[in-house]
Amino acid sequence: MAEGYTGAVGGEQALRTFAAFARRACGPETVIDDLLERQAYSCDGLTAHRAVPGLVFVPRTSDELITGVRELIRLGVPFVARGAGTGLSGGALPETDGVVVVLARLTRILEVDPISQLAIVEPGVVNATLSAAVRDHGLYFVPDPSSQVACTIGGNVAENSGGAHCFKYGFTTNHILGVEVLTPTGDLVMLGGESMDVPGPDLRGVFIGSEGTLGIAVRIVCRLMTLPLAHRTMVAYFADVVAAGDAVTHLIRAGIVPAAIEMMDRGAMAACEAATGAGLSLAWEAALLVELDGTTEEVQAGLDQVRACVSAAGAGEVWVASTEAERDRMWRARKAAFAAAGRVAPAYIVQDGVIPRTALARVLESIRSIGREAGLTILNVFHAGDGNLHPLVTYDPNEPGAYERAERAASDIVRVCLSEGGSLTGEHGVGIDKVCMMPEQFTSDDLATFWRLRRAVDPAGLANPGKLLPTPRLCGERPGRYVTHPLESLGVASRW
Amino acid sequence: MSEVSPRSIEEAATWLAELGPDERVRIVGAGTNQRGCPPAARILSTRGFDWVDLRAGDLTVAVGAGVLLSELQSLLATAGLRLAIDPVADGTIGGVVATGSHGALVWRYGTIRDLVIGATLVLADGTVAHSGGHVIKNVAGYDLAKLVCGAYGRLALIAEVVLRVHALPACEGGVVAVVAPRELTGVLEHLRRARLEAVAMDWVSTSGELLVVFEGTSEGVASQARRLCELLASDGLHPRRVEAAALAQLRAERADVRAPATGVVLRVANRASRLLTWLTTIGRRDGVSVGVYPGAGLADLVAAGRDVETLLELGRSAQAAGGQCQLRLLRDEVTCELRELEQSPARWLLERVAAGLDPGGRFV
Repeated sequence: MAEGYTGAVGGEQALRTFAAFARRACGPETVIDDLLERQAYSCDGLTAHRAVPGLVFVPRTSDELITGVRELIRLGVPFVARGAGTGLSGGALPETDGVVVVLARLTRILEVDPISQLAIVEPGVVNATLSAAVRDHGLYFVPDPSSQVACTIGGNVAENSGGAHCFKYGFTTNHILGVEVLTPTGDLVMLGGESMDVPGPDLRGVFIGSEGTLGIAVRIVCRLMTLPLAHRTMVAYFADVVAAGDAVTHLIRAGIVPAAIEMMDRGAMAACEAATGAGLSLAWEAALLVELDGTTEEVQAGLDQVRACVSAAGAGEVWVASTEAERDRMWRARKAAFAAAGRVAPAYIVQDGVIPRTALARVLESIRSIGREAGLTILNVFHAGDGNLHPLVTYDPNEPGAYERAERAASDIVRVCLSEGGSLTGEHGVGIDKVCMMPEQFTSDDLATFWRLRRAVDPAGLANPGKLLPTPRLCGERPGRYVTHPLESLGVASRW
Repeated sequence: MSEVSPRSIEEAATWLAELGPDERVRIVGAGTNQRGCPPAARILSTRGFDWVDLRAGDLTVAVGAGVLLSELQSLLATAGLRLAIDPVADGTIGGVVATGSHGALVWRYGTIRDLVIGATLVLADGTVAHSGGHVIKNVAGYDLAKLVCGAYGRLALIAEVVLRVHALPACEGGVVAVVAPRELTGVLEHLRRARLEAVAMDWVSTSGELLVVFEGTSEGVASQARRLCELLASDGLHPRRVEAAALAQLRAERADVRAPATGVVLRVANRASRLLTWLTTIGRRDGVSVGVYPGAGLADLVAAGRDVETLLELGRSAQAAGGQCQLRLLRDEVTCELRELEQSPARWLLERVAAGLDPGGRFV
């Protein structure tokens, strides 16, 4: 069954018409049509895929957003919503004949209701900004992706982002009560509401994580949680990655629910330590960062249980943070991992796969073999409690064939995840990056059902086309990886 | 009316695929929260979907839609686990998902939509579609498991779901106090300011008592319950501690209020602060009991008899205050006026989605 869309799109003339409309209706500063400026939006955090958008639209208010996007729909112009551009799957990769709709100026926290433990925000509010804004009420927004100082809540909704502390409290989908959505047909609709449950099928749950393919979030109702009274954070070191994986399984089986269980192997620890000087011991092959939160009594009892568990699993050394500053150092090291990998190798691919937790030790062993066979160093740093792996496959781009080997190794890792009953992606999304791997996880009937849902909401195929679901055209004629030409690096020539 | 009860997903898919284009199908589980059946519809019972695949180490379980929640909970308990919802009535897992069930634990664990991590659905034309699986974190593809939560069988047959399960708490305990509706907001503020981690809050108008439940270690539960008692006493209330053994009785009494043997339950959902303000305006009404999950912004208005006029009036006033209404636990067909309360702002979009998945309108 042929899938995808066949509808005509607007073309050059439609882009010019839109630019004139937006300048008139929303103001000249909402339109970016200069080539060099448009190039700044040619990729998100996945820099291997690039395309210069036909136009960039940067509304300053939700009214401007709605007005502009409705005109795009009327003209049949495809659009790609973009928050801070920190996504790692190319979900915000532009269409060359379409418009990037930048939500980064919609940064108002519209309302905080501490009694109801909710905040209503615009999509461009930065994740960490919301938690900071409600801290005085004793509240915070739980999802905490590593990019939380930059990523937006609209982006979190689009990707159903996770983060280190989602093991205990759930992911973005569990912390969004409602979303007002501008649909790809130009209608405004409230999905969910402002309570913990609303009547009817959970369209909010379908929208969250739909990667911009079912519309644009205009207003988001965030659930806020009470700040825990106490934290205890520790790092347990192991002589072997597999032993650390076993320790996670023991912890879970013992019924312990830490707020976070993060794992790093030796390579990742070395990189993080070099980047932050946090005080990680480099004498071991693997480390688990375990954080407990809750009341003082709960946390102390939990800490004792965790110590017993990791000792039984063979932990060689345990570092328990005794001050808030020590805890901060531990987290700084963990959250610096992706950036720190740049100290180990000039380039790397961040993979994102999920496995059932009980397969952790086995999968880590497979990843080690994949790295060995490819002749590449693979750093492992991930959310061990969720079974969400983030292997960093390092390579030297100057070495002929190295990128291709790294890409193959990264794909092989995901295939190992799938063979264990896992998933292509735990939090980075499918985007453009994994769209052609979707048939490896889903049957043709599954994909056909996804298409039926998508077409029901977006009959014209205007919202982030080419993402999330594969099409024969997309996966048969996929462009190669973007490689910078030396003249581009020198700034003397431009590709477009 | 003929009823089929397929024993496997394949059998159900084949049966649906072979139906004539005009044949309508009503999906039934245990009938706990079933709406009246259109006369011409074929009945598809899910009770043949009776399998359970527990993966205790992964804290996940795959369950056939026909398994009773009570059966699943018993099986999980033998492994020291539970599905962290506590609806006031039993039913099949498929029914729990289709009706979006939950109980007072909604405050900590959310509703069933927060615990469903995968589903196998059969569409009206027999297409079998999967999403999610035995991993608690997964963002590949659309989350079809969420889509069927609260859909009352309109969009697809739920054949199997994968659920996230939690360890049974080492200890639980609670605090009970007679609290007036206008005082509920103050209790929420106490819990937040003292950073107490209640897992459930449940107020019923019949006794006027609020029950707050804590879980965790015995020391942690005791210290939180003690602290809450101090705070409530400082407001002039008379709280009392409830040990774990007494909780079951309290819950059963509350279930009787919320799920009477006859009558109608009207669920009102609104932002917690608005719901609690609205609650102070409605006063006591003869023939209508009220159960409230205060922090969650949810109230059940229970008319035990057939007189639904008061319910209609309360539903309209809840809507005027910004709330949404839904009829639950229908034992009888109710008046058209009551059905009119069920207006969802997203109905047009739901109809489009339904037309995409079930273009012939087979599932009724």
